[in-house]
Order: sequence, then structure tokens, then C-alpha cells
Amino acid sequence: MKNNQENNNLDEKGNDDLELGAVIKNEIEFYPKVGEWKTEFPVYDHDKCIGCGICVKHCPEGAIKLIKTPKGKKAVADLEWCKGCGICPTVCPTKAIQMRKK
Amino acid sequence: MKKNYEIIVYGRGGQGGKTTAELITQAAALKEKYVQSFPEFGPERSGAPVRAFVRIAEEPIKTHQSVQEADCILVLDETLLETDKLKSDLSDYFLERGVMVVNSKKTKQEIKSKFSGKLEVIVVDATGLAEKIVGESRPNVVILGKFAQTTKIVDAEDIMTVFRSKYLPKIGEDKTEKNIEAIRQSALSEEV
Amino acid sequence: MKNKQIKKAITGGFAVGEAIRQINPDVMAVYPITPQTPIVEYFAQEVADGNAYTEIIPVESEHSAMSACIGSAAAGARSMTASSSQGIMYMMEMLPIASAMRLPIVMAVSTRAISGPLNIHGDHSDAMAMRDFGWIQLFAESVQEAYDNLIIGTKLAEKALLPVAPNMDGFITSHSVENVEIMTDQAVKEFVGEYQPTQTLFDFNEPKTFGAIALPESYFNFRKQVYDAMQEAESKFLEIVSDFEKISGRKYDLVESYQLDDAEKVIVAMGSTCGTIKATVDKLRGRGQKVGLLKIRLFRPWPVEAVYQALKDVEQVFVLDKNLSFGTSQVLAGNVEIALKRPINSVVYGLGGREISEEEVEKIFTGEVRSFLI
Repeated sequence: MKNNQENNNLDEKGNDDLELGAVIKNEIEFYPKVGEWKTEFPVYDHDKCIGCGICVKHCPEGAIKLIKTPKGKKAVADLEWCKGCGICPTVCPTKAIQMRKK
Repeated sequence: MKKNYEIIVYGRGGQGGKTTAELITQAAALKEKYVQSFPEFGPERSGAPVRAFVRIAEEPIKTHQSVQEADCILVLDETLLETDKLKSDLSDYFLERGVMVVNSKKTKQEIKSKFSGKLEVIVVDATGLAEKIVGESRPNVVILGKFAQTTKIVDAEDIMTVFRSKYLPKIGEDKTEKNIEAIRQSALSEEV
Repeated sequence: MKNKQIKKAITGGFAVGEAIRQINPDVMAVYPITPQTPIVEYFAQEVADGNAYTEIIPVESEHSAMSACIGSAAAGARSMTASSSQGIMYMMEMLPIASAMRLPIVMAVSTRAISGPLNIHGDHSDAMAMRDFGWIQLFAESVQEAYDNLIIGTKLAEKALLPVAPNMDGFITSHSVENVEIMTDQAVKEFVGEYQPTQTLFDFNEPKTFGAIALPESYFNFRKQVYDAMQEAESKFLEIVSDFEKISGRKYDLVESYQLDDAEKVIVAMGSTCGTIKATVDKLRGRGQKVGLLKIRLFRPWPVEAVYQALKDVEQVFVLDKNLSFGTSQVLAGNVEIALKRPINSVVYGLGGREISEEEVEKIFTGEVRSFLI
């Protein structure tokens, strides 16, 4: 049966393979590799970054982390999971983030 | 003889795929054609692959299924050429008689060699041209111009008219005219 | 005399928003939910631009939206809202109150699957969930019908003194661009006329209580009153669509028979899928197969006689439900069986917005697909 849903394994699965009550495991290896989607990526200026964590909370892909550096806690994006959406520079209070073309 | 002319627009969320479909639809409606257009309904995220569908006909359009046998496929992001979804949209009908317009810096030969069949492949560096003329990398306006030029299903002039009426209040005179110039140049330029 | 109309290509959501704007109701309570949001967004923009004078009440939930409509309708204001799915579920305790109080509220519905799991796409489960609350329910195949049904529904609500829910398929109609003929503002206003409430909260000569209690001695009788009003709604619908044909040129009936004359196999369905079925019927008729479609336009009250007349000589009837009932027969299938008094083939399809293709419609006709088009 032609089905236009992406990543829909339902037709190959019988009822036995379906998660009970649609309660799903957090299996990150099945997550789409959104890092490949980007045409731009964020660059973090650690001199301006104050480690507030606002970008961490706003990233839709959860790609940003705060790490300990000699300058204090600073934001860093995992480019494998960053899709280049441009939200983090918009929310950064100190304008520490710039988008750069790939 | 197919009653409906069917188009699939391939893009990533944020590239203007849905708008491309809308503009073609409104341009056809200006010439009193029967039209239908809808995006693929799925989770909407920036960067996610999305399809938009268009039907244009001389008679009322009844069906609501997604396009199964496209006459034309517009590809705003060439990485989508490698996806299973696009490959499954290449019906026998399309491979024999379809037109594909692809946004790419590659040559026509390189892109055409990915497919079997007699389909016509038009390649244009839509991103580059858009950056040059509009100052933004959104490729859809260039693809629209090439679509009008190649298929002649809608007039480039009508696309420009519809673009102006929709976007002038939103983005102002300067940006609107630049986008329209991109459509115009694309529709007039010789093929690479 | 058929009025001048403007041809446009717009989405179902905008078309319904435009119909509401032309009617210019007194009050519209709004709370957003996908996929009805385009209706209220478009309408709110039009009010902001001064193209309608409706009092828009942004409320904190759908329950409040319906409560606000009930309050304002009781006060004598033409009141509308729009909702879908979980929004309708949330306002559910107010829905039967609207009909019990005989208030002509209009709620535009962009049908959407009810949770769970969470799904924002179109099926009919929300419309089905509210089918027994005394609301008149209409279904639209296209953007044109969604536009027309809103206008027809407004007049019907006020003639029947029952609330009306004109349904269009979420996303497939609400978010798709199709050709539509829009009537002039004047034609629409003349058609729906001025709202003439027979009793309101603002009657200071004869003050009234709305929302009273009814003990066992009288509750049953009040429920029967709503039942009788629903029975009468069918003939009122027919009068109104007859008037509507005069101003629009478009002829509507309780049901639509498509290629039924000598059909041996007929599918019964509602909503946008009917278009896909029509395209399939055309194809199969081209190959000499005697197939047809019965489209249901007025779902509640159920047009039992019209369905019987349309299908009584048809050998094989397939009924498509875009909804799932558990532990029993499906809703539309059960309603058709009651009309025909014989078994029919019931198929559930399209849940959660899963697409149905012309190829699959063919498989329903051939019997290759039974029970679930999963």
C-alpha cells in the first residue's frame, strides 16, 4: 500500500511490534541526523558568552551544552545535531553568537 | 491524456517550498484555471524535508490524494535528490515525460545521469542567482522563473504579478522588486 | 436571481473566515487549535482592518469559548466560534447545554483526530464525538462547500433554534488552496438576515432564567423537545438550500448521488475523500464498471429516508468511516445499516490523517480491502 508518511514502519510492523500505549523509548540512534540539514552554523564568541544557558534552553534540537572552560562556563554546539536554524543568535543576550555559511 | 497537470515541489522547511506551490497556484488562477495546492502535512520543523503539491486543470479537480504521477518536479535543495522519498516519487510516467528543475551548481549532465528515462532536466544555480540579485539565498524565485520558462504552464508575468500583490505589503518595495527581477532574469536566461 | 460572485483560489480556512466576515456576527469567542487557527487568524485580521465589527473575545480555553458563546447567544447576540479535536473535547460539557438552551450558535469545525496518541491531522473523530449533543452537523467536500455550509449553517441554526457545526476536513480542506466562488457581502447579509432572538437575557419586561434545573418530572420532556427540533431540522435544511440555490446557483441536498443510477457497487462517505472517490468512480466507469458514490452532506440529523431511497436498489454498499468505534459497529456504517435494514461492508480509513489514494478506493470496490484500510 503506497503510504506517504516518512519513517513510517507501521506497515512492516504487526501489532506485536507496536509500543504498548504508544509509550516510546528514548532511542537517539533513530533520530534523524539533522546536522546534515544545515547550510549555516553558529559560532560562539567565548569572550562575549556569559554562560547564562538561554541558548541551551531554546535550541530545538538540544544541540547546545555549557562546558567548563578556563574563561568560565561557555556555550558550545554539537554540529552533528545542530541544524543551523538560527534561533540561538536570536536569543543570546550578549550577541555572542554569529551564523556562518558552511 | 492526463486531465490534471501535477507538480511536486521539494524543499526543506524554511526554503519557501510551500510558497513556491502557492505562487504557481495563484498565477494559474489568474488565467481562470482550476487549481489545487497543498503542502505535505507533517511535523513542521526548520530544515525538515517538505513536499508541496500543485494541480492545474481546465476542468474542476475532484481528487484529494497527493500527487502520484507528477508532470513536473521542482527541487529547491539538491541533497533531497538522494532521499528515498523523492526516488519513490519518480513514477514511470514522470521518468518518461516529466520535467525536473533542480537548484544546483552542478552541470545538467551530472544531475541527469542520476535518472533513467527521457525526462527533461533543467539545472540552475538558484541559490547563487538569488544571492546575486536579491541578496538572500532563498532559491524559490529563481526556480519559479525557470519553471515558467520551461513548462509554459503559467506565465512568468503572472507569477510576478502574484508575487508583488502578496509580498509588497510584507517586505516592502525594494525587496519585492529584487525578487521579481530574479524571477524575470531566471525566466529569460539561456540554459546552462 | 443568481448574484455576481468573485472567483478566488484560497484555502478552506480563509474561505470559512471570509464567510464569517461577510455574516459579521455580533460575537466570536476565539481560542486557537490546529487546524482551525487559520479561520480565526484571518477573521481577526479582517476585524482589525475594520472589515467586520464582530466583538472578538479571546478566551483562555475552548471550554470558555463555548461558555462565552452560550452567554452571548442567550443575551441575543449572533455568536460563533471555531474549534477542532481536543478543543472540542475540552468544551464538551458545554455542547449539549448549547442545544438544550436552543441557542443558534455556529461553530466552524476543522476536523482533526482526537488524542491519543497526539495527532494534529484530519479525521472525523472529533465530529463523531459530539454527534449526540443536539448539534446539527454538516460535512463539506471542498473549499466551496465549506464556504457555503457556513452561510447555510448560520441561517439553519436560527431557523431550527439549534447550534450548527459545519465541518471541513482538517488540513485537506482547511489548508489546501482550491477555486471558490465568493458571493458579495450584500448577498450573504441578505441571505442570513438579521438575527431575531425570541427570548433573551436582556428582556427586562419579562425577565427569564437561562440554564435552569429540571427535575425528573420535566427533564425528559425538555430532552424530547431537542429531539423534535432535530427531527424538524431536516425539512428546514431543505428550505434553506433551496433559497441558497437562488442566490448562488449551487444546488445542495441532504445527500449527493454521484453516478448512482445503475450502480451495482456504491461507497458511502463524507468530506474531502468524496472527491477522491468521484475521481476513482470516473476512472472505473470509463472501464465499464457500474460504481457510484453517495456523499452525505447533512449528518445530524441523519437523513435516513434520503439514504434509503438512494441505496435501496444497490447490490453492494461500502461505508467509509474516518473514525473508529470500539467494541461495536462503526458510526456511519451503523447509520447506513439502520437506513437500509440490511448488512453493509464497513471500512475504517484515514485515521490520524493517513492518506487514502484512488488506488485504495478501487481496492475497496473490489473487496480487496475490508474492515480497515490501515
